[in-house]
Amino acid sequence: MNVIEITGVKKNYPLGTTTVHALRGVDLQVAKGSFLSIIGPSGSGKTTLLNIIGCIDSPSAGSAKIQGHEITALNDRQITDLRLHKIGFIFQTFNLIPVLNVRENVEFPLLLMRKYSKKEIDTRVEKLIKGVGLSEYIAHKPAELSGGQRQRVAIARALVTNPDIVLADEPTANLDSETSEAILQLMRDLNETEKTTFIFSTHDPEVLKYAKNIVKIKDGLIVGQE
Amino acid sequence: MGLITMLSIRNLLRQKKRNILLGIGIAFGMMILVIANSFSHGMVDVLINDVVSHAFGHLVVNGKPANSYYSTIRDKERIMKIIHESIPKEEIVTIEESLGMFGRAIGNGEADNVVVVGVKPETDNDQADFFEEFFTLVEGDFSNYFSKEIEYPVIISEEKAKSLKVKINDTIRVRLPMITGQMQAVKLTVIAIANANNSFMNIILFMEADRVKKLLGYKPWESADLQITLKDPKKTAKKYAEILHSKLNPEVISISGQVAEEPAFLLAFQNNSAAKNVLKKNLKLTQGDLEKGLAKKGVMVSNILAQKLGLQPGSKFIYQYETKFRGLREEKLTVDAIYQSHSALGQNVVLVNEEVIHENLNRYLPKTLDSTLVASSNSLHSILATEWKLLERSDNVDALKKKYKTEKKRKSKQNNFDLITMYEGASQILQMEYVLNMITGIAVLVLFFIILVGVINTLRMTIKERTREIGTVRAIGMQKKDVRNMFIIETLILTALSCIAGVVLGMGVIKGLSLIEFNTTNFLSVILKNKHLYFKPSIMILSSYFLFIMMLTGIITYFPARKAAKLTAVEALRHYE
Repeated sequence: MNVIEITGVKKNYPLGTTTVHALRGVDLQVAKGSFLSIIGPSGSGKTTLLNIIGCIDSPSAGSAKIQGHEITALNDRQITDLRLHKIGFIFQTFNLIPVLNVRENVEFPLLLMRKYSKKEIDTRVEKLIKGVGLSEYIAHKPAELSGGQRQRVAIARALVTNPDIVLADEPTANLDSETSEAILQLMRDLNETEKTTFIFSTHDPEVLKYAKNIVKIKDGLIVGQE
Repeated sequence: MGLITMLSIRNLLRQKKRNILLGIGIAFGMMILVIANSFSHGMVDVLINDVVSHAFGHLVVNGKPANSYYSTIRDKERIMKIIHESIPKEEIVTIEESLGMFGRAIGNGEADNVVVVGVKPETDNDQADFFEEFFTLVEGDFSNYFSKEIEYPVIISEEKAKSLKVKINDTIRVRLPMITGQMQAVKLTVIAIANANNSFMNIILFMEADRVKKLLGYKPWESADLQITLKDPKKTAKKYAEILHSKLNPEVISISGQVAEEPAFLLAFQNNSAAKNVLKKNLKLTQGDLEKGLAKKGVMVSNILAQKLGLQPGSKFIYQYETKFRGLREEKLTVDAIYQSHSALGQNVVLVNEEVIHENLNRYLPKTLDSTLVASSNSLHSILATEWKLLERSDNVDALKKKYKTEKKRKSKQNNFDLITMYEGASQILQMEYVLNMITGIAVLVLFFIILVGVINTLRMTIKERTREIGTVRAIGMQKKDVRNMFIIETLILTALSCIAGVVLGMGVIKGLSLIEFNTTNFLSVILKNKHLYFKPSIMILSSYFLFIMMLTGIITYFPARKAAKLTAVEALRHYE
């Protein structure tokens, strides 16, 4: 069963007087439980493709179905709701909320959902924080954590809503190799245990060894799949 | 606490320096506003409750005999009763007679203009408080104010004592006009030199009220203007003025009495052509001259009464009636015409032109006016003259002046009654309230400008700095309205806290300024209360300013916050400073 179905997606950006063709007709299907890596050089369209899959950007042309929802047919409120309930994000620069501590950052999406009791939230958040090995840093602010620790918080935050898809844009780009491996292993373990679909972009060949599937992208086109 | 509020508070604490600076700006503005508003409110309070109430009264009942400059209410007891029927007791602070006369005073070789004013404490027990409230003693002894051994003891201001070169126990000769218009010279003895707490009072020579009343020629049952000081004049002055005015409506002149032991009514008709035309239709002349009878000095008698008493045109007779304070009054009249009438006027009636009776009516005051003969339902009731003319209410000082100008031209001996509120009588002083409100208004505008510029600027910087964060929270799943509300709540909390700090600071400054004592006797002392600046914060006005500031902040924050919320997640995430 496909959680993502992308057909003929194009994305054009105006840049001054010219137009940048970031995606030039991409077709992609991703099955549930995949651990998919999108690889390609800088400017190839990896992030744009992830943004469209993550519903934070819309295609200029083509169709993008996420969990069966055609995103071009949804309004902003519905798309925001879809992101909150179905998609988790892990950013290259972690993007934690600096005024919140580890626990608050992780519970943030659950609080936005406004449907869980405090007890349910606490249970889930503490389990995830323990899972990413940050129990003793639970009250720390992002500024008090290392890069790897921050990314672990980001992973916990991405998984806290039990999403169908987790998107990670170059999740290890700002981490040393040891931490990178630990983060990728953690993602892989969660993929195995929770059956969550992980899609991450990278141009680091070392990262690829963790991927179950690989999609190669170049100049806005998919040039190969393994 | 909700997530959005928590985020707003955390973000507020994050940019401490900037927010503290903006907060100081708002707090400073609010402080100025509190001080300006409290000062303006306090000053208005002093003006209305001290200056206006002492000098003019909040409501003044003015009874003026024809062609007289001075006010004389002939029947104080009756007017006091009307006042008490019109205004609830608990709304009245005092009702005082306005006993004051301008005169020329001669001291020790120096002359100056003075005003002699009669004042007295409400009760004997209030004497100490009374003097303490109004005066600061320089020399002498207040207790002599009531001394029976001194004929006319007066308190004089230091400034006036200097100009007249008088000291304690010196005498001042003053020439004063009495209410009758005669001038009289009196010797006043200085028993105390004291400065009034309000400098506008320094021209005044204060004397015990009953003595001034006697000096000016008032009878014990008469009164000068009655000044009513109200508890809450700004709210109630106009309302009670209307009620009191309606109750001051005069009765028609219909006096029951007798002519040579024959019971009769003396009725006065209005001295105008309309009334006279009605009478011409209703009366049938039997003897004498009807035109003469209707004229200014005209006296007519019904033929029934004339026959009983054997009266003829040219006959002199005496109309007797009971007066309220002076026993039996005999009115000497001469018959001009004898008439027959099928109306009430055909009974034992002496019908006179109002100008025949007004002067004596005011002076002798009939015990009762008996309108049973010509009741208000009777069509002839409208042509009967009234005991006084109640002047229309005027809205402002200009209307008041115009009204008096018109009245001055009226050639009648009928008394006038007027009801003046502080809004007409002391409008120039009350105009200061507008000036003060304007100053407060400017302070409000300055504050609003600080808020407007400060908030917009701060918000723009904040949004710029946090654009990537907006992208993150939008990507995670925060709705647009929550992003917008986050910024609005953040600014509202800052504004609210700053306003509260401003109010606290303002109160502190007010407290400090109130402690300073001003020993001045110049014009500025008018705004002082017991030698101190007087502040009266109005919780209602300050609350409304607070709500308005909060509303304004909400509105000016809304647009940049909405703009920030409208950013798409991808646009916001791409933002790099």
